[in-house]
Amino acid sequence: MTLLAAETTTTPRTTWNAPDRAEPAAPVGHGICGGHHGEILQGAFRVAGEEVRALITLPMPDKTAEATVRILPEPGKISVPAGKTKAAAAARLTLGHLGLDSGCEISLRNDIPASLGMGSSTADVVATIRAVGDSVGQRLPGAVVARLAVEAETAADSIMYPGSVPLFAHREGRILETLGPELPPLLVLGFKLDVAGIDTLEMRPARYTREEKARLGVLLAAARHAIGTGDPVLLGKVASASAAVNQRFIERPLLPELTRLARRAGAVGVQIAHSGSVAGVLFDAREPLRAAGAASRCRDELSRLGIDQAYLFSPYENYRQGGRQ
Amino acid sequence: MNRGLGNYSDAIALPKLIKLGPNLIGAAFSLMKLVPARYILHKATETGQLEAGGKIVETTSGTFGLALAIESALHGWDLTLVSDPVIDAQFASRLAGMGARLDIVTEPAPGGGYQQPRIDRVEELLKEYPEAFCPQQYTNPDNPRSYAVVAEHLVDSLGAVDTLIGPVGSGGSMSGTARFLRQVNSDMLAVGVDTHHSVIFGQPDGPRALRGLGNSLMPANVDHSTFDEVHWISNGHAAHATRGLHRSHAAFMGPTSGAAYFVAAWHARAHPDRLHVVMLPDEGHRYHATVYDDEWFAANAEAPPDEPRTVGSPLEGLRDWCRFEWNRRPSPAELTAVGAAQ
Ligand SMILES: Cc1ncc(COP(=O)(O)O)c(C=O)c1O
Repeated sequence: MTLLAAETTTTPRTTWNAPDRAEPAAPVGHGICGGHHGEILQGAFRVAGEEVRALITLPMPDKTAEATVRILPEPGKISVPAGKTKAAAAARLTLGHLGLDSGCEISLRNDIPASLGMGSSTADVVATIRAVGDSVGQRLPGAVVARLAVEAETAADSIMYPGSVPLFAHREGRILETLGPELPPLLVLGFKLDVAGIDTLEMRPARYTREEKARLGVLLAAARHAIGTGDPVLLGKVASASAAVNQRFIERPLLPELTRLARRAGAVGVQIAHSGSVAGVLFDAREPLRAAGAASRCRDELSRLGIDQAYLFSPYENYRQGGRQ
Repeated sequence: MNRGLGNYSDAIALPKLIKLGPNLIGAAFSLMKLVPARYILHKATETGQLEAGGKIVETTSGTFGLALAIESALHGWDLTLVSDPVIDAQFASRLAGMGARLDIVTEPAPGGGYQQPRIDRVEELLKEYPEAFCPQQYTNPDNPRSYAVVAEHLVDSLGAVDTLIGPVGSGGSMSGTARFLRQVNSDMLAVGVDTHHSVIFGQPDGPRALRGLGNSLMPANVDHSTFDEVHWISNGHAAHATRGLHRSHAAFMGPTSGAAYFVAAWHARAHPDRLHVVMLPDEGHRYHATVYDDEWFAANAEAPPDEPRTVGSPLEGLRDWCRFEWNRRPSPAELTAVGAAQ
């Protein structure tokens, strides 16, 4: 379902005290949230003298979760589709945050592949939080959504901040720094790695050496410059180098081969979902036709490696996201 | 590095970035050696090797000693610097003014020079005070590693750098900065600037007039595989270039900066499509009686030629402005062997 279709099917918002109706209809809210494709950069960074774990997410706006919430008069009654317990927790927290003494019924549609580290469950949570807010006519700020989302599922991605590229402290749910309004023009050729996804929260935080921390600091500076100046080439280097740092913690045996392949294909870098099981080859999209040509040649090379389910997307359309927010 | 309000050292540790040409940026440090001094001492406090009010011992008569003295004054450490009679009186009084103790070695080594006697004196002091911390800038891997903050600063402001040029003494600044810059541009060229009769890039040891760069012992912190190209510059040429940097860009820097700037300007002219960064390690204040003194200048400075002489071996580069394609060789050993056989 596309974003537009989703908006047209939304039930018109009704307020609690609709004066010209005898019987107010139950308030309904709608929320949407895009998925992501793992991280461009992840590590521990020194921020104002403190060491903080943080990441820069690669958004994937083509894939979305949408939530529709119908407020129920029964306090505490939360009804969710089977298995969506994190969304239920998110709804409960958001109702509490808004001071609403009521329940709700949540329906969800989600086409973000689950268990690959693409933010599928975070997107359910964020869409639900937004939908609950929307049901009472509130557009919850990103920081509030982030805090509620982190509370509902312990850690989260930064996909609740459409229209900005944050350096996001994922274990704390706060933005350390906004690096810019959008990523540089990139075309991503993504694919599933033949490895199991790893639960970000279950995993012990990586213990970086001094040398790795020193390197990560430089990569963050490079990301800041690349995003600030719209330089896809430099950002590609950041992604490749961060993927290389991550090898010591979660090794992707394919990475060296991917790196060679990307170089041959004229790509700007290789991106890895640091705790997920997708990867991407990044192309400079400042010349879209050239990028598309290079990506298509690269797709052929990937299929020679046995990867034939590759897909293309553009992360920088992300600021369209956010549904009615 | 802390970007908020901080002490003197916090405020001056990072270089100012100065445009010296269309494709040449100077990284002008007030005192470059604050970078390794801060990192090494901070780590020593974290690991418990250096306690509040603790003792620090190091051999240096140069800028690393000044950086240690600044940090020690700010943090209350008890610093002893082992030096020799060559140390100038103004510099000694600046160190003493911050509470550093100077331990002057008076007997040169049998073959001349004070480097070995100074190292021996440090050994003695460390035996006497086993709890003292010795930063060891020539061998401590945290010296090069500390330059990640400089690479951060450069990359944050400039993005990818194409060519890095700088003087080589302990090797820490060039080996470290290049290593970190290459993370985002593995093709970056690193150009080392040395002086004749320094052993670092395979020349035989001998008297060197240009101080601050070069060495008569091989420092472990020189990672030879960093360097694509090496230049040897004389004291006279460096002095001339230092004055030139001051005259044309108003940058008041020391002679190792002048030497590096001279090589960098030549490189930048030859490669107009590449972004060059040159390391300028200290300011001119210590050199009023030399480079910036007209009488000294008239007697010692010499205008360098427009082009370097490209040599096939370090041993052919014992005079003039020479350039050698080092090609990231891991060590000078095989070169000197070949050179000696010729
Ligand atoms: C003035 C000056 N320039 C250059 C250098 C060389 O730097 P490095 O020791 O990092 O190679 C030094 C080192 O002491 C120095 O004092």
